[in-house]
Amino acid sequence: MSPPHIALTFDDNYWAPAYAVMRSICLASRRPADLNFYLIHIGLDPVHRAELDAIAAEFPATLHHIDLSTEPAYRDLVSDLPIAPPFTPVIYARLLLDRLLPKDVERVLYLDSDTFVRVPVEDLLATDLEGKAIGAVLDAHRHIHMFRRDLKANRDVFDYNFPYFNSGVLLIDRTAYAAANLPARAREMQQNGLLKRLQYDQALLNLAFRDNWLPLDYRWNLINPEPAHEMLEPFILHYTGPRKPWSILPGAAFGRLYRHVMTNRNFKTFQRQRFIRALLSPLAPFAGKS
Amino acid sequence: MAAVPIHVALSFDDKYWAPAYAVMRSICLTSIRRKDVVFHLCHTALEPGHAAVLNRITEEFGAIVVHYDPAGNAAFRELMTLLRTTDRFPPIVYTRLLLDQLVPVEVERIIYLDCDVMVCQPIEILYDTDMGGKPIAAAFDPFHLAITKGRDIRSRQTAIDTGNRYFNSGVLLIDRARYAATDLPGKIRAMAESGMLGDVFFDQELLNLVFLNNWQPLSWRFNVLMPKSPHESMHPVILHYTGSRHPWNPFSGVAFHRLYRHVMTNEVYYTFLAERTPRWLQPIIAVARNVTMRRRVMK
Repeated sequence: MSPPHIALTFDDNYWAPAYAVMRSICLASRRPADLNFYLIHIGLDPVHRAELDAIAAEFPATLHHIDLSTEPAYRDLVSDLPIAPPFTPVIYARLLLDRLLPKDVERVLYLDSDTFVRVPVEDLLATDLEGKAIGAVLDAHRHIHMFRRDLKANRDVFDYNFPYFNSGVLLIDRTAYAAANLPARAREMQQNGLLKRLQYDQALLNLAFRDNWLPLDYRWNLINPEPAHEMLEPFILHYTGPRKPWSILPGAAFGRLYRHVMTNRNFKTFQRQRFIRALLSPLAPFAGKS
Repeated sequence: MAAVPIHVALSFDDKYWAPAYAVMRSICLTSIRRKDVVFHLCHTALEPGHAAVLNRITEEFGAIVVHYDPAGNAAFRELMTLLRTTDRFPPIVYTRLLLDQLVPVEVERIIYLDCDVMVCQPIEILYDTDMGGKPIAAAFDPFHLAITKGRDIRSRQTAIDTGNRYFNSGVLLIDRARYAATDLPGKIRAMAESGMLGDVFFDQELLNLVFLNNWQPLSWRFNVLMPKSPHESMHPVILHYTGSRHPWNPFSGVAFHRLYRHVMTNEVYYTFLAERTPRWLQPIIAVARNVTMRRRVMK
């Protein structure tokens, strides 16, 4: 039985949510010692890296750090690609998963860092992909994502029935993923202006894997989860939307449980850092940042 | 081989012209077979401008739009002498009882939808549902106890026992031949003669009385009543905006309220809003409309 492989991509702004994702996976898994986490990050503070590494001691899962600042493929990819707040270039890192992961990884679960896993992740990894490149969940907000105002834009790119998935939870067949040559696709979409018009990497993935993805049960990627969802036993919560479980008054599903999964110490540290960052953000332009 | 049409019926008066447009557009946006959809619009007189907007569906999506005036049907007029109406439940709501007599004879199966719905997935999922030999398919109404029995669940006396399954009539899949064989007008006349009609809760209770234990249950996803934001991620097929909050009102807080405005299109949304707004509030609507339209130009 191959070990479960899980990949996360994030920057230092999301070190604590990434920790919570990992810990939630370990807590729910029947095989925590077999878990392999690939932490693909950039600009990670050494102190935060040490916090993440504590997972290996607690469960003990195996952690593999991949520092994007030392990856030429990443630098080449993101140098010309468009990005606008609140996103950062690290969102494009998942396009390189097949190039960044060790050769022996055949199947990997990619998770956004604003997720929370509540069931054994190996159950999802064992899903039969029926020959498709990826497994994902249909995006409930796909029409607005694709067609924008009055649902009349981008008709030259998407048709109305385009099966548009949310890319925050992706079950990936590595060989098929590599065959899509996503970096080339990104460059092509950059050159013809599509990438800026659309929803960045999510739109790119949807275009690249059209008719080549397996729809999963919505509970594998329950977006914008609220307390009303708790009794439905969701498998993976995905905190899209305004309610974040790391906020002081979250109003999101399992908000209190999330704090304990993140651990109160990390939760408070992260709160403090976010508060200071928010205070300093008006000064960012004077520090040469935008 | 010619494509099999998907027949969809709506009934409304001019007060609901814009929600009807949103229902039609939501169907066309989500259907894979949008060009096969035939809309049977049963309505009273519409303002010409409103009718023109409804007919735009054909231009935008290729679906067929057919208009009917139920008042021109003798059976409907006769039925209306027996049935109770109010401002909230005008005569047009009873059109669904006579659909088998209104639509062309070649229609074998038809979906009836209230105008306060939005379709989120291909309508053919519903159209192709196995009806199990029943005349209608519908979704269970979770509020049936209060509807059928009133305050304290005992103030109303109806022939429907609290243990019976009770459906909401806002989304109906109808087998035309079996529906016609039920002889709804005859049964309603019999109820009127026995004095049963006085307290009946409009079309929904009539249908539940007539089709008691003779309807095919649909998944709740086909008729999500009073939908709120948690329902959004649960892959609903049809949202039904019952209750006091409606997506055509600002700040409604219902599920997909923003999407609904774009499905209705901003132009129709603000026109409809202005029609329902007192004159002294019109300047605010105008400002909101201008801001919205300017944003569209900027994009």
